Amino acid sequence: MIKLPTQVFVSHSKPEASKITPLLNERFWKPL
Amino acid sequence: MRWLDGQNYTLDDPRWGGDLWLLEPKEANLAVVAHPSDLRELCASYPHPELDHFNSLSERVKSFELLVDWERLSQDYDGLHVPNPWPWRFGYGDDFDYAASMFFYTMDAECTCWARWCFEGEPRIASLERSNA
Repeated sequence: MIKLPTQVFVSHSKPEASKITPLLNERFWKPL
Repeated sequence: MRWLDGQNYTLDDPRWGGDLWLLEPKEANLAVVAHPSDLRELCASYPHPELDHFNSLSERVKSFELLVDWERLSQDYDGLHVPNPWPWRFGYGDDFDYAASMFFYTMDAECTCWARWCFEGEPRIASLERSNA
């Protein structure tokens, strides 16, 4: 397990898990 | 942040710009590629399902041999962390690894590709003060 320092994310809107997770699942990964 | 500044990254561009949000990662299970040998280990553990097809396209081009099955890797890891791609971008060292250098060449600085949301707390907006402003 790794604890990385603060990450920078560029977005016009606030990044939120509820928005990002469906996007990752639908566009990049097969459903787990 | 310094890299963005040095590249004159136009954050006001509607296509790729936006605000700079700071996210605090939780402890995460990350695959780390810090050396070409790490990439070769991932390729051996997560071979791309169409690797044979790609390699059959040419007898002489073998760079496809380092394709990773990222979908399957994402089921075991929260993401991929590349702490310092720069030394390997041009096949650093005596043991030139052309295929690995193609992977590292796509990155200019430390990179993390997150496969899922692994952050805690509220995202904060940061400002980028340009040194030549």
